[in-house]
Amino acid sequence: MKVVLDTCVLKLATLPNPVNPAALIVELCLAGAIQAWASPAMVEEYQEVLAGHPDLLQRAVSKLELCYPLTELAVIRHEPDNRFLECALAVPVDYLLTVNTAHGHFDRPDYQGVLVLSPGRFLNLPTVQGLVQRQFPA
Amino acid sequence: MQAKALVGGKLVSFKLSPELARAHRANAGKTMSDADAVAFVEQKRRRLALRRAKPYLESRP
Repeated sequence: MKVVLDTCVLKLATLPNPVNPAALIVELCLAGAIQAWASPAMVEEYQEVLAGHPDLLQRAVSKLELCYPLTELAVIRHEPDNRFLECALAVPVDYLLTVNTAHGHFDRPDYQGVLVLSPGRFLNLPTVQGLVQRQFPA
Repeated sequence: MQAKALVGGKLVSFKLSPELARAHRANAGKTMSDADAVAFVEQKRRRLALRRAKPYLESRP
């Protein structure tokens, strides 16, 4: 399963929130259970946001699959979000995971077959539930 | 270190990797809503954009 992680999902994963779906998704990526894709522009943003956690950044980047989108898109009104969509469509990935579904951001449920889901909804997918059970048996 | 997430309606406990556990320890006591995380990322994006624009801005008369 291929995904693109919006930077805010990575940020949320680093926080000790009582219930943290983003952290579980990052763990699944680090374990190789799901494939996270990123473009150089996305990695630069990850570096900026995870600057306070260099070891996590290094591990995350070492697990990322790199993609080099050839097309620059202007589909989403908030321009920086287009970098994530460019990567998602170039691969193409199955899911784009974000908490930013406000108007002008990732405000469509799917972009040419790439489904936009929140971390919580992603973890409710039957295939993902199976992955979690295999990776973290009770 | 353990964390929890809702998976298919059940609360699941999972072990954090050493890197993520270190990040959680460094952020101990802090929590963030989804909206806060979006605002945090936007602030970082703005900072990055300003840094990129700095040579141009400084070269202007």
